[in-house]
Amino acid sequence: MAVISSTQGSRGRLAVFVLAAVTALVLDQRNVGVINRSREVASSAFGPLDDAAEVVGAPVTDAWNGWTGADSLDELEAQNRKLKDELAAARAEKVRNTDAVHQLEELTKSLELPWLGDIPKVTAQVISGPQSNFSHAVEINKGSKDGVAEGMPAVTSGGLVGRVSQVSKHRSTIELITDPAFRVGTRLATSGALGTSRGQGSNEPLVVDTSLTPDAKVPAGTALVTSGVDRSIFPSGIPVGRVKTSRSGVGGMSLDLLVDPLVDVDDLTYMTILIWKPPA
Amino acid sequence: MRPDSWMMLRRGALLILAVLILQTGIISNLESFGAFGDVVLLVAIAAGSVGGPDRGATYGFAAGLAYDLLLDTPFGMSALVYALVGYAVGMAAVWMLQPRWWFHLVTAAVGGVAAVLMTALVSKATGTGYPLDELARIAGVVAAWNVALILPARRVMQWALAEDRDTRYRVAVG
Repeated sequence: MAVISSTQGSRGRLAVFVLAAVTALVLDQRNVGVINRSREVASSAFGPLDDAAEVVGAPVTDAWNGWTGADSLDELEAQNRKLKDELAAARAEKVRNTDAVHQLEELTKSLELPWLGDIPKVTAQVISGPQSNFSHAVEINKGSKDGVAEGMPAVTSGGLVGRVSQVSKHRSTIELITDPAFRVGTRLATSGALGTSRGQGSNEPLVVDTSLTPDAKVPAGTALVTSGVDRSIFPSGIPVGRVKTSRSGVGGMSLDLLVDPLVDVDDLTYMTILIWKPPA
Repeated sequence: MRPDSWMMLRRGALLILAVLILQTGIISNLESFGAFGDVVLLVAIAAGSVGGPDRGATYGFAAGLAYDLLLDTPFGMSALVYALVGYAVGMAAVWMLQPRWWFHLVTAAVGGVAAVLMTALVSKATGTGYPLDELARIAGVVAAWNVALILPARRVMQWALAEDRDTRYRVAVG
């Protein structure tokens, strides 16, 4: 009988916990301020402990990476990263040139579109990778005291990385473009066709829902940039990726594109935050 | 509150803090097959295994909620999943009364897989889906870590619960 009464009591407690957790989920979905503020405070308070643990655990991490084959010979890594960065910059330049030609041809009012080069920027170092298996976010060492705010775009020389999802005084969390919850308005650099890009997780291409008809032809390698359309949270013209292949959309009424991101989000060391807010 | 309850509370808070530091500072950097272990979940499983469903649910909720404060995933998701898994592992342990050592390994593995699947379901309900192959990979790695660490984790939990033997044995024998 003692066992039964114990489990009955625990059922009641479980029900309370489930109710509390579901309430928290609902409040989070509605962007209630107290949750965001609590996360900011927790992140600020926990940051130094996290840093200390990473320093202490560095030998373990290095030994683990060596054992699992993820070698970390410093010199080779640095050279590889430099070469990747140069290659990404060259690819992004090619995408920007394609987009520039299209913009001229369309006779858009470019003076009203923010030119990426004039946007104030803050360069930040990536200090931490995803903290859970279901998170596609990294942490950087710049926060609100540096002018970073929630929603600002994050880029590298290669292109779009993601957006700022949480900010504390000295750190920020960047939601990556590969996150299944991430959305960005895009357009094809050649035709200007608009679409919405979403992530599918690590090492998976982005899926772009377009308004093109299913029989439209989009060659592999076609460049994709941010669209910057009305009230978009990203400025226009940031390189996003290149088309890998296409497939019929849900219901067979439109065309979906599978796009390889230009930036390797699994190999980020530095990134740039654009101090930019959408025009009112 | 009784003095031994205060001691359990302090030990529990210390344990959750230590585990969070371990998870975010070290475990999350030890990737294999694109995923890493989840020692915060292990706290819930160990609490259920040692202390029964009540302890499992309580530790799962508290540790999960603290973890949610540090993540960018939906707030409350870890609290919900870990409370449910901790409770389920506790119920399984109460059923077995005097489980053998291998039983703890099995519940740790199954608990890990169940937690990953539940997290994916809750994510889907909040508008974020995950590819099946990614889930399988994560579940496998989490389960492997749980199996490797459950026995020492139970020792630590016995200290935190300030018990010299499993609470559920006392409950069972009266």
